[in-house]
Amino acid sequence: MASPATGSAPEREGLLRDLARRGVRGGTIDPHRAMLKLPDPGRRLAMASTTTLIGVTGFLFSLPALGTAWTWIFRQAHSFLGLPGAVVERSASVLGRIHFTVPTLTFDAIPPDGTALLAATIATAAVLMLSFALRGPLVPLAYFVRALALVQTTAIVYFRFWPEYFPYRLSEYLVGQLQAGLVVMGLIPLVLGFTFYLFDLSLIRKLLLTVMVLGHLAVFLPLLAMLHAYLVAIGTLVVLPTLFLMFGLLLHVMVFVAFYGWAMSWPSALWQEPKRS
Amino acid sequence: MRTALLIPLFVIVGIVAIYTIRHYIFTLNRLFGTQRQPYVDIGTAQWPPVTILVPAHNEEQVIGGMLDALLGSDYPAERLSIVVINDRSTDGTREILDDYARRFPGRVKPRHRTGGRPGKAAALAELSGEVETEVILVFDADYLPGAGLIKQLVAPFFDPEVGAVMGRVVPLNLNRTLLTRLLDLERSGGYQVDQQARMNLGLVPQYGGTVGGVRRSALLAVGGWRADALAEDTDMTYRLIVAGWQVVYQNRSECYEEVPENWPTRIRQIKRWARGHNQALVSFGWPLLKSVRRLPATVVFDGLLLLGVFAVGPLLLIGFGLATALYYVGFPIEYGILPVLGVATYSTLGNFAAFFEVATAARLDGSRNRIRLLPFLMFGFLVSLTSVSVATVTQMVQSLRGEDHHWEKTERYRNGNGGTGGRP
Amino acid sequence: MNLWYGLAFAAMTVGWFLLPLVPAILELLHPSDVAPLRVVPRDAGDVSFLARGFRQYLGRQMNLLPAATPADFLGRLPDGTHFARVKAGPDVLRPGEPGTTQDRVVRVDTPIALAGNQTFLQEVHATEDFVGGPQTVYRALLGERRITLGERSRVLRWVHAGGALTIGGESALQGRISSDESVTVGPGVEFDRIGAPEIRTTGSAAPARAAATGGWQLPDGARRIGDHHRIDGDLEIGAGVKVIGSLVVTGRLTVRQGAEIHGSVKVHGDVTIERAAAIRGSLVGRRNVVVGPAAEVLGPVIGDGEVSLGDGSSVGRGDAQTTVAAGTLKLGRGVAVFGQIMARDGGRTTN
Repeated sequence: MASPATGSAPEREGLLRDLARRGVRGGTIDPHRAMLKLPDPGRRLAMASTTTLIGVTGFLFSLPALGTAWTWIFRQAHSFLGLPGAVVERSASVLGRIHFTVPTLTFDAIPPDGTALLAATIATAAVLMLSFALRGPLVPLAYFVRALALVQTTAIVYFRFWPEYFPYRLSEYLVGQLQAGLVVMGLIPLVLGFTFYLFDLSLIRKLLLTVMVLGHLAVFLPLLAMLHAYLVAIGTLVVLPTLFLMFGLLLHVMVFVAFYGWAMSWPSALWQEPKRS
Repeated sequence: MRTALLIPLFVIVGIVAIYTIRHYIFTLNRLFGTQRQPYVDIGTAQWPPVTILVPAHNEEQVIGGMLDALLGSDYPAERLSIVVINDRSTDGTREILDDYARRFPGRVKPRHRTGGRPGKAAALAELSGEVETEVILVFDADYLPGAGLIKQLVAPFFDPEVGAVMGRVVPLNLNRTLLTRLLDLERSGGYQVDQQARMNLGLVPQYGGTVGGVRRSALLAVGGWRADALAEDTDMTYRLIVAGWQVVYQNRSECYEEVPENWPTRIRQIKRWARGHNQALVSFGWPLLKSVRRLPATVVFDGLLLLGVFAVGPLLLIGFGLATALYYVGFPIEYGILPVLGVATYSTLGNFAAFFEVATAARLDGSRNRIRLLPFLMFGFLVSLTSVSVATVTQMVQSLRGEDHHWEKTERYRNGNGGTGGRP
Repeated sequence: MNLWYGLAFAAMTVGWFLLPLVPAILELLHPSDVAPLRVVPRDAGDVSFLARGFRQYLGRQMNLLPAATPADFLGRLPDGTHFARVKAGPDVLRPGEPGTTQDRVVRVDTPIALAGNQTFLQEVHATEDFVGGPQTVYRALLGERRITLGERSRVLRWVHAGGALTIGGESALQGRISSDESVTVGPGVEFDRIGAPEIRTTGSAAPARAAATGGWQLPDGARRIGDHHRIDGDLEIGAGVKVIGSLVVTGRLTVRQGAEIHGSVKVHGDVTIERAAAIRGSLVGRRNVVVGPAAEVLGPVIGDGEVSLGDGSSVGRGDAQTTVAAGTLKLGRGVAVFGQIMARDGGRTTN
């Protein structure tokens, strides 16, 4: 290491500047957290925009491969679960340029009969009762369970009075779920671009997070769709509204937030972790 | 039928999208903008006389520690009076206060309330006209101000336009439960990003009723504290803004607080905030809108958004109800893919804005692993959303029936020993 | 459809869903980051805070030195820090030899005058008068009595003097500069923070200004808000006029020569206080603030942008210390500030 006494003029200047930032024990002295901000906003925004563009483009061009992979997962799951009907592919395209397929199932779920409705009502009432037993730290869970029961109640009422008006078939539902999932996946590089790429982390880490989130969802979306299909197959259409409203997009977002929270805890290159009391 | 559901749904999505954009702007401003803290560098000055008001109700566990902290302040002792308003405590608070008054004559002045309307707002209102110092600071009884905090909070009052100042609260008891840890993250987002961005952008930082203060002449000019205010802090913020005063936030002026450790306490707290905010929305929405000729349009707009922040909860629930109904009648395909994309975008980008804000704040704070709890905030949001909505509906019903509100105090957790009276 | 297969598939899907939640669940079950943020209990922002801390540190270390340690000593402190103590034999520092670098804490117990062009990479503590030579670099310097820094000196962290502190011209002062008595700053000096009962730049002080007597009328549209008047738009206060009360001006403010405002002033635009005008209160500017020659402000002076104090102007009084806080700060000749100066993006005295 060059010494201020012996080094060249630029080296000496660099060492003196560094010394000005160091405390008695040699640790760096960062500004108070109240004053901290990120430098070079222009460069960061440009980098984020570029990376986002690359991410979105890369995702769009991977759609055909993704469709093929999803069909494979559907076929394996369909066979494993012993679901009726068959796996078929539906064509889709983005802007008429990128053509791909999305898998779905040919079997149609049945609307609930009286027995199924009664079973659903009993189960919903039991779940609601259970929510009142959730106390202390489990209060948030109680709120979620009650929300679940409320949504399921709407489905029971709907199928009790207007079953013939239910506008969805399972095959369309599955395609819709997967396509909505693709929209979420397509937005992920964009969201990360302006909420994560801005931060002081290496490019490798940024790319790693993007790949991890997209990779996770690429597997999770068809698994979730097939699980929904299985639950509808054994539980009739009366469970479909709850699956759609409570266990669809909400889970995708939760996966994303979980990855994001983890990645935001990765160490910063810009400032040190402050001392705690 | 579908159109009847779609129009209000998109109105709600539009309103919430405005809040979303606001969150993003605030977070990006906090990350990259100039951090305005012009008064925090005032270290030497002719410090004016200050009165510190501490409303207290059954605070025997914490009041001693609070007084010790205030008595240890580096503010000139002859210019600092501490007035603890003992609001009909039934525990040992009175005895502790009288002991401090005896040992620190002229510095600690207890004021024992035995009648009148209960609650913090009423306690402060009773004292409004009696305080003679130009600067009045307010602390809750469970706060622990550092030695330099009083000077920092007084410094902005050298600016004649400043009517109120607010510091940053930092949870002390975050190691207790998941709730305290989630509240720690929320507080980070709310202060480190939200309040500071509003300060940077010249909008409306909120005076939070503790770790802050008001200028006496401003207080008198707007009619003092209102005894019937459910959230006297929000009420004061808006009366000052509408009257032409500025409220400033100092991110550097930090003070420890206790956050609720259990969900029932948290639910009561947030319901009280919601009722107070809604009351302020009714009281100041129109006056603020009318003041657009006198105040910058950005201040009026942000002020309205801040006023409506607790009304968003019920709106979101209504939106969810509409979306559910729309689901059952079937989304009209003839509307095309754009509305679907719009809702999908909102569901991801939109909902995510709050997480971005919180994570950014925690990262600026130098926090690390606590940010991993981010997904659990969803549960906190669900509880808040429901509680705020219930509070709003109840408030509307009570208002229609002409019923009065019962003030509820937030539970304390510290096992205090009554303080040491400044002794080591 | 086999129920067990269905359960297995559901378990796999739920497991895959929970995978990204593992860090969150681990942090929930085994908390590793639950300490509250450290709120600084004492005002570490005080300009002489670091100097006081160093004095305590060195005092503790020297108390631990063996009693037989000679007055002139080159060795280590008990905590292992390289250390030199100078009393009778200042040759330990080779003060007459330019270009030396001291990478040790130095304690000087004798009046000393250095030749210059030296570098002190660690703290220096002088218990007697200390005169630094030109082009000398100090990491930090604590003097219990007077300190004089030569021209083109450079300070990296802080300097504190118990007596008068004089800074030679063209010096660069990073960090905190303070004195219990006074600081005199030469021309062309760059600085961040200075604190002392009396801070002066070299140059002659302004003659006493004449009191303003002219009457003043509030402009049309001015509104009374609490204890101040608010004027929307620009405002000019005429020469020799005396204004009683505080003002908030949303545009630009010009206070002409010799005028006085007996109150505080807040201005959203630029502010110009012309020659020999006076503000008997605080002056807050959201943009640039120009205090003209021989003008007086009781203080504090707060400027978001550039604050310029003209030749012979003053802020505060000997019996009323105050603060000048600015984005950037320019000090003319013969300027007096009583209290504290803070230039967030740097300050400079006129050449």
